[in-house]
Amino acid sequence: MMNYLYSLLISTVLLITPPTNEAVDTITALTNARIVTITQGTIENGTIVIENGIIVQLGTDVDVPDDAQVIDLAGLTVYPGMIDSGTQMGLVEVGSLSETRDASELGDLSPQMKSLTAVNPNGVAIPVTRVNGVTTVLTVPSGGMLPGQAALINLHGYTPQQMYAGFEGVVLQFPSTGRRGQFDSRSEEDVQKAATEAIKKLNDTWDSAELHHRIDSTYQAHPEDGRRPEYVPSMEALKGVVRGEQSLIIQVNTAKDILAALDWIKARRMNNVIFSGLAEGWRVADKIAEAGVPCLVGPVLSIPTRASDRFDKAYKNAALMHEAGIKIAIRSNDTANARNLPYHVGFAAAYGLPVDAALRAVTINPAEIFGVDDRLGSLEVGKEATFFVADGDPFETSTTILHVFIAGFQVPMESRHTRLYEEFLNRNPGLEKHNGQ
Amino acid sequence: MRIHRRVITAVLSCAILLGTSVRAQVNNGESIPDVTRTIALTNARVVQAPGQVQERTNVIIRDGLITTIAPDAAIPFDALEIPADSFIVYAGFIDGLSHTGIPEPKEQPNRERPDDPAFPPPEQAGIQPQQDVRSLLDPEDKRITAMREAGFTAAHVVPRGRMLPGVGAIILLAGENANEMVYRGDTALYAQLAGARRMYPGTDMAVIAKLRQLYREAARRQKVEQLYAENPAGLERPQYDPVLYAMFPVLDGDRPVFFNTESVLDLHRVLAVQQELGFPMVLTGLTQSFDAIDKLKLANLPLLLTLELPKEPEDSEEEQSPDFTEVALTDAAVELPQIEAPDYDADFRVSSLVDVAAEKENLEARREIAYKAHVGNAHMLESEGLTFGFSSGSVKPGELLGNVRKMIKEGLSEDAALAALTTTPAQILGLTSSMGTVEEGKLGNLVVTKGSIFDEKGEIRYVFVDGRKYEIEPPRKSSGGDPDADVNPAGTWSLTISTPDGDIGGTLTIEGSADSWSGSLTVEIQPGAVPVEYIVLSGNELTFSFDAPGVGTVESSLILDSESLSGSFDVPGLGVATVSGTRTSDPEMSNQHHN
Repeated sequence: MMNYLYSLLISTVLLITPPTNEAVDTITALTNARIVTITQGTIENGTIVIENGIIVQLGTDVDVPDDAQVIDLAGLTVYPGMIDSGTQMGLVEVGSLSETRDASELGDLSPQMKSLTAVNPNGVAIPVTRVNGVTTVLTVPSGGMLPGQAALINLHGYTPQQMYAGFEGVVLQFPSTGRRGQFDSRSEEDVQKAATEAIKKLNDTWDSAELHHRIDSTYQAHPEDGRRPEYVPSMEALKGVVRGEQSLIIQVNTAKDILAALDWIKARRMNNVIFSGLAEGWRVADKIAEAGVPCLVGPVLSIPTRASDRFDKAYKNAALMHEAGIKIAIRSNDTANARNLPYHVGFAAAYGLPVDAALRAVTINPAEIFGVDDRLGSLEVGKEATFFVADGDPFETSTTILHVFIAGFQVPMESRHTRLYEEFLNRNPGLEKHNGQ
Repeated sequence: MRIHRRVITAVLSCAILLGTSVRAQVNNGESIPDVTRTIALTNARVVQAPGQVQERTNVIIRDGLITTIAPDAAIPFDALEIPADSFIVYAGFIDGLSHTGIPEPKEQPNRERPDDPAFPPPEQAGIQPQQDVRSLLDPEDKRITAMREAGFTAAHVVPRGRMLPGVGAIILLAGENANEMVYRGDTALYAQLAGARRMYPGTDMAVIAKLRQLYREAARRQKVEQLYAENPAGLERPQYDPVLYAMFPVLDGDRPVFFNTESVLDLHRVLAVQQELGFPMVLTGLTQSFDAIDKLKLANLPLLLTLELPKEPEDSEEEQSPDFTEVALTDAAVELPQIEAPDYDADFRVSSLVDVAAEKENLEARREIAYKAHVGNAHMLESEGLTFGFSSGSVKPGELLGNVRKMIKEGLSEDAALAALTTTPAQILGLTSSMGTVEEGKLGNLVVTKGSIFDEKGEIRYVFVDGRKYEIEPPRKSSGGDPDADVNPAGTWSLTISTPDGDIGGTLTIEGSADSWSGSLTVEIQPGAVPVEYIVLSGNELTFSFDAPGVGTVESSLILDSESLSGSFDVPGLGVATVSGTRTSDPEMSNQHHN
C-alpha cells in the first residue's frame, strides 16, 4: 500500500507537472499581484521576478525579462510561505501504526538523535500540508527528557538534505513538576519526589555537558598536550547548546513549569533558548516577556488547561502573550492536520491577536527565531522564492490557495486529498462500465 | 547453631537503635554517561592507610586507577574537579564475606523429599562445592547499591546455601553486567555448619562427619586419578564426580576454606575438624569469639569478624521507678561484681511475688552483659593482639557503619576499625597490591566523607569504584520531633539559614489552623515571597516545601517550640542547610490580624 502511494506520488511529481519542476533554471515573473511582503508593507499591482529560486525583483516598477515565464495574478494575493513551528512532519505517517512512527527514541538522553535524518520526503502529509500554504515546518522528535534535535524543513525535496531549511535545535522536555492530568492518581509525595528527581537529573546532565564542553575546548585548543577526550555522543550533541551556538527548544506548558524553566535558564545563564508549547503562557506572560524568551505557541484550536478557565483561553493565549511583548510564533503541534495551521492563526486573530501580528507569527517571527530570516519569512529581494498565492485571506477556510512556490519550485497543487476528491467525484463511469457488461 | 543464635537474639530482643539513617537510592551515575574518566579530588585530607594521613593533598584518578597523590599535583585538563577541602578520603572498604550481588531465592529450592533421606543427592543436601558464584551474580541486586552507599567498593561474595554452598569471587560493587563486576574468581570454598532440612546431614554433628567423609573420599579419589593418569591399563575407570573434584584444590592447599561460625561451640568444632584434616582456613562470623580468645591465638588463622550485632537492650521504665530502688536496697543477692556492666546474679532467686521487679532487673542486667560482650568483641580481639577483617554477612548495609561506631564506643581503636575495613581484608583475600590503601597505582576505589567516617555525624558524600564516581545524597536529617507535642505554628518567624556562603536571613509566615495551613517565605537575597506548600504539622515537626528560584523544590523540616524553631532546608544539588529561627508574632496576633 505504502509502495503504491509512494510510486503514485513520485509519478505525480515527475510526470504530471514537468514544466513547473524545471522552474529553478528558468525565470518566472508573477504579475499584477497584491503582494503582502510582511516586512515592507503590502504592494498593490506588483510583480515578483524569480531566478534560480531567488526573488530577484519585487515591486510595481519591475523590468520583466523577455524570456520569463509570466503568470498573471490579477485579483490574487501573494503571501510568504507559512512556517509551522511544531509538527512531526515526515517522522510520523500513520499515528496508530508503530511501523510508520519514527519520532520517538527510548530513554531520557538522546540529544544526538537528529530528526532530519529520519524525515521521509515522501510522507503523504507533506503535499497535503503545502497545498494549504504551509511551506516550511519545524519537525520535532518526542520521547524522554532530551529526545533529540528538531529540524526546520521545506515541504519539497527528494531527500532530507534537499528539504533542510537551515535550522536544527536541541529539544528539552522540561521536567513536569505537577500532575500529568486528572487521571494521574499518584500521591502528593510521589509527584513531588518524581519532580525533584527529574530536576536533579536535568541539572546533573547539564553539569556533565558543561564539563564535556570544557574538556573538549581545552583539548581542541591544544590537541598535542593531552589525549583525546572520551567520545560521549549525547554530550557531544549538547556541546553546541552549552556553547551558545545552537538553540535549545524547551517544551513547557504549565505556568509553574514555565517559571521553573525561566529560573533554570537564568541560573544556567542561557540566552539561546526558545520555549515551545506554553498552554498556560498567558498566566506568566509578563515573566516570559521580561526574560525575552521567544515562544512557539500552540495549538490554538484547543481546550483550556483548567476547569476554571474560560472556554476561549486557548484561543486567546497567543494574543495575551503578544500583548505582553513576547515574540511569538504559532504552531499546530500536529502532523496529519498541520494543514490547519492557518485556521489556528485565524482563531488567534479572531480572539484578539492583530492580523498583522498573526501573519508575522507564521512568517517572519519563526524565521527570525530560527535564524533563517535571511532566506525565509517575508517577500524581499534576495530571499528564497517561497510563497503562496491565494484568492483571499488565507486564515479564512473559504479561501483557495492557487499556487505554491518553494525555493522557486512551483509545487503541484496535488495531494492525497485532491486525488481522493477526483476519484470519488467521478465514480459514475466506473459503475456504468460495470452495469454495461 | 541457628537455634542458638535465635536464643541470643531473644534474650537481647529490645528496641532497635539505628546508628545510621537509611539513605535514599540515588540513580545518577547509572544513566547520565560519564564524560571523562579523569577525576581530581583537590585539597583533601587523605587517610592513605590506617594511621597514615596526608593533609591538603590532591588525588588524581585516571582510567580507573589512582595515578597521583601529591599536595601540588597538577590537575589534568580533562579532569572532573571535585573540591575536597572539607572532605576526607579513605580507601574503599572491602567486605570480607557476604552474599552481595546474589539475590535471595524467592522460593526455597529443593523442597522435595529425597527418596532416601539418609542418602540424598548432594545438591539437595546442600553440598555444592563445584558451584561458582560468578554464575549467580546479578548486577541488579539492590544490596550492591546499598553496600556502595555504605562505603564498600569491593566484596568477597559466596553463594547462598547450606553446608558447602560453593566457591567465592571478589567483585567490585559497580558494573552494568556480572562480568564487569568480577575482579577475581575462584577465591575460596565457603563452608558453614548448616545442616540440610530433614535429610542427612541434618545436624552439626552430621555436617562435620560428612565433611570428614568428603575430604577423605576426595583424597582417595585424587590418588586413583593420579594412578589412572600415569597408566590407565588394567585399571577401572574412575567416574567423574564434580563434588569430589571440586575438593581437590582444597586438598592441595590452593583453595582456602572460609568457614563460618556463630556460637563459640561452632568455633571449637570447626577448629577441631580443621586441625584434624589440615586444610587452609579463614574463620568467619566469630560472633562469640570473645569466649575463645586463647584458642584463636593458638590457631593463628586469618579472621573475618561479622559486623552483625545483637539488638541493643532498651532501658526499661521500671529502672527509673521508685519501686526499683526499694527492691534493690532490700535485695542482698545483687552483688556479683562486673566491670562497667550492670550487676547480674547467675543464681538469683526470689522468695515471693513481691520481688518480681528484682527478677526482671536481674534479667536486664544479664541482657546488658551479653550485649556488651558482643559489641566489645572487636575491641577484645584487638587488645589480645588478634588481627581481623570485617565482613558484612547478612547485616543490612544501612546498619554497617553504625555497628562499627558502636564497636569503637566499646573501645575498638579507629585505626583497627579502618584496618578491618580496608587493609586486613585486602591481605586475607590477597588484594594488597591493588586495593586496601590510597596509593598510586591502586584501583580507584575510594570513600569520600564529610567528617570522620567513624564519627556519628560523619557522612559519606562520594564513593568511587574502579574510578567511577557515585554521589551519595546526604541523608535526610531525622528531625527528632516529638509526635505528641502540641504547638501552633501560626504566626511569623524570623529565620537564619546557614549556608556554605554565609548566613541568609528570612521570614516565614504560617497562617490558618490544623489541616489547612498556608504560608509564605521571604528570603533576603530574593525579592518577593514564595508560597510554602504541602505544609504538614505532626507533633512539633513542621514539614513543607517551596520552590526556590533557580534550584528547584526545597524540602524543609523544622522542629518548633512556642518561641523558637530549628531544622533544615534540603536544597537540591546544594545539600542541607541548617535553619534556626525565633517567633516574631504569635498565633493570636496572627489570627486576629487574619480575622
